Amino acid sequence: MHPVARYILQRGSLALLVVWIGLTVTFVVSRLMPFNAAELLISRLISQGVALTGEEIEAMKKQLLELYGLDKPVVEQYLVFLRNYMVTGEMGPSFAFFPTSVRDVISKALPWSLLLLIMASVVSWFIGNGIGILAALTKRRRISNILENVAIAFQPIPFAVLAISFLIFYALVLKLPIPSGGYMITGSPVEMLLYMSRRAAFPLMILVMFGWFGSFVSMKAVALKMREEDFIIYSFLQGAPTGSIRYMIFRNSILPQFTILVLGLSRVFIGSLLVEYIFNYPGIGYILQGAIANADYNLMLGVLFFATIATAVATFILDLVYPLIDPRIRYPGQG
Amino acid sequence: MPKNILSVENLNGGYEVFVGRRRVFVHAVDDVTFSLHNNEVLGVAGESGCGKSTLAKMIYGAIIPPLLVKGGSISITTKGGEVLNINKLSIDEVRRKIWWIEISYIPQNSMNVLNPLKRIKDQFIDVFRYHGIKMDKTETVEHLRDTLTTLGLPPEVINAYPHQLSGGMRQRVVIALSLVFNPRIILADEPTTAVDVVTQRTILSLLKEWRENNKSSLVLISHDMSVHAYMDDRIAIMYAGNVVELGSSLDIFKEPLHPYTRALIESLIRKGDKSIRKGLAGQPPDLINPPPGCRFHPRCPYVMNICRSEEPVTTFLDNDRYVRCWLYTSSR
Repeated sequence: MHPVARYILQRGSLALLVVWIGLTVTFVVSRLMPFNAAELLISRLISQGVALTGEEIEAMKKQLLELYGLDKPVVEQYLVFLRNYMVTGEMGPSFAFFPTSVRDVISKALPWSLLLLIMASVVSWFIGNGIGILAALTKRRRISNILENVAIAFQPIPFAVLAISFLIFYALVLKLPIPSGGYMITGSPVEMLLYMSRRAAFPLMILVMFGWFGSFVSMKAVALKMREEDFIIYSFLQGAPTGSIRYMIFRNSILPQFTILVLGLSRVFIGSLLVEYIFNYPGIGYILQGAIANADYNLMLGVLFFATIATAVATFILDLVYPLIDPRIRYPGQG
Repeated sequence: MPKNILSVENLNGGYEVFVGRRRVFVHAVDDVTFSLHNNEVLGVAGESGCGKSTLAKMIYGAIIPPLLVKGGSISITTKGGEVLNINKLSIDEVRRKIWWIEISYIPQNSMNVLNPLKRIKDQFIDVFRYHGIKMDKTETVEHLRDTLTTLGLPPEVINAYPHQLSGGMRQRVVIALSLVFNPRIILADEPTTAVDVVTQRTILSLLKEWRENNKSSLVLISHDMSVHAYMDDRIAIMYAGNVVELGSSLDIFKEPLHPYTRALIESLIRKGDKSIRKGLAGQPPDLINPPPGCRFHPRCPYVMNICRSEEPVTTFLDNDRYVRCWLYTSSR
C-alpha cells in the first residue's frame, strides 16, 4: 500500500477510536447523573398540583423508564446506544421533546449555530490576522502599539460583559432596533438561509467586534518575531524588495494561526449557550443546556456526538493538510 | 600596481544606543582606511567585539539604525567601470545596484539563513526575481545543478528543503547563492564558524578555488588566524575599532609589527612546537568609552608615555604595509 494512503487510513481509524472513546465517556457521565428524565417529569407534574398516590407514581415511573428505554441494565443500554450510533445512525427519541427524535431536534438547531459561529470564527480570524500582520509591518509603531494595548485590555473581559454592555449602549443610547424573530420557519432552503442570515447578522457583528483581538495579538507577536529571523534579514541583504520580504513574513507567520482557526472551527458544533442566550438566538447551545437540565440523556449524547466528531475530523484534516502548507512536516514514508 | 576595486577612507561609525535615558555612541569603527585590490583575498582579523562585523555591514551598505556612519567614504568600482560612493547612495539604490550584483554577502551564521518553507532551487530563483533579472527556469535549474555539483553537493539538493540538509551542506548552498551573479566582491563574515575543521577546510577551499577562477576579490572576516593563514593575500588586523596593522599575509606572519598582531600570531600553534602558548592579559576595551591615546595601551607590553595620551599615527612602511603604533614613528 502507498505509505501516504496507509497514513491516512491510520489517522482515520485513530479518529474513529477518539470518537468512540468520546461517546463512551459521555455515556458514562450521563448515566452517573443523580437524576433521570422520568423522575424529573413526575416531580414537575406533582409540583404543578397533580395529585398522585405513591403507587401511581411508581407505575408511572416504571412506564416512563420503559418508554425511554432506561429500564434495561446499563450494559444493555450501552450496547443499544453503540448500535444506534455506529450502525443504524438512529439516535433515539428525545426525552424532553418526546417523541420527537434527537436527530430532528438537532437538525433544527444545529444550522443556526453553525452559520453564526463559523462565520464569526472565520471573519474574526481574517480581520485579526490581517490587522495583526499590518500592525507588525507598519512603520507607524505608535498606532499599532495603541491597537495592541486596546486588544490586550479587552481580551480578558468576559464576552458576556462586553456583549451586554454593547447591547445596552446600542439599544438604550443609540436607540437602534435589534433584529429578532422566531425559530420555526417553513420555506425553501434559500429563504431559510436568508432568514437565518438576517437573524445572525447582529450577534455576528458583536462576536466579530470582540472576537478578533486574540488572533490579532498572536499574529502581531509572531510576525514581529519573524521580522528578526535570520532568513528574513538574509533575504533583505540579498536585495529582496520590501514587498517580497513582507510576503515572506506573512507566509511564515500564518502557519500557527491556521491551526488555531481549524481547531476553533471544530468547537462551533457544541454551540455557544452564552451567545445564544444573550441574543435569544435559537442554536444548539440552548438545546444542550435544556438536555442537561432535563436529564435528556439521548439529546445530550446526540449533541456531544457531533462535537466529538467535529473535533476528531478537524484534527484529522489538520494532520492531512499540514504537510501541504508546511514542508517541514511530511507524511511518513515520504522522502 | 594592482587596481583597487573598493576603497575605504577614514571610515567612522558605530551604534547609537540608549542606556536607560542616556544616549551613548558605541564607536565600533574608528578611522579605518584600506583598499581592496582586484583579484585578492583580504582578511580582517581581530578578537570578538573589535568591529569586524560592523565594518562588514558598513562596506556592504547595510546601514540600518542603530548603526550609523559618522564620516568617511566607501567607493566601489562597478563591473561597468562606474565609481559609486556606497555611503552616498540611498538604501534602495544600494539594494538595486550593489547588493548581490557587485558585492555579495555570506553571513555569520550561514547555516541558518535559508527560508525553511522554500526549496533550494526556489531560493535561487527568488534572487533573480529580487533583482528583476529575466531567466529561463529550466535553464537556471540546469545551471544550478552544475554549480552545486562543483561545490560538492549532490544535484538532488535543488529539490530539498533546508531542514533536509546538514549544516555544512546549507553553508555550501549559501555560498553558491552568493556566487550566482558572479559578483566582483564577496564579503564573508565568519563563513565557517559553526562547522568542524574538516568541513571548514572544504568550504574554504571551494571558496578559494571559485575566487581564483573568477578573478574576484574576497573580504574574509574571521577571528581565526589559521583561517587567515590559509586564505589571505593581505591581512588587516583590527583592534577596538581601529585597523592597527595592514600588510601582505606573508609579511605579517613572518614579521608582525604591532604588539597586538605579535600577540595574535604568538598564540598560534606551530608544527613541532613544545612550549606553552602565551596569552595576552586583559580584555578588549569598552567601545563606549575607549581608553585615551592608543586603544591598545592598557594591554601593551611595550607601552610608552606617549601611548597613554596621544593616538598613534599611521606609519606607512611601503605602499601596501602600514602600522598604527608609536614604536614605529620614532624610528623613522
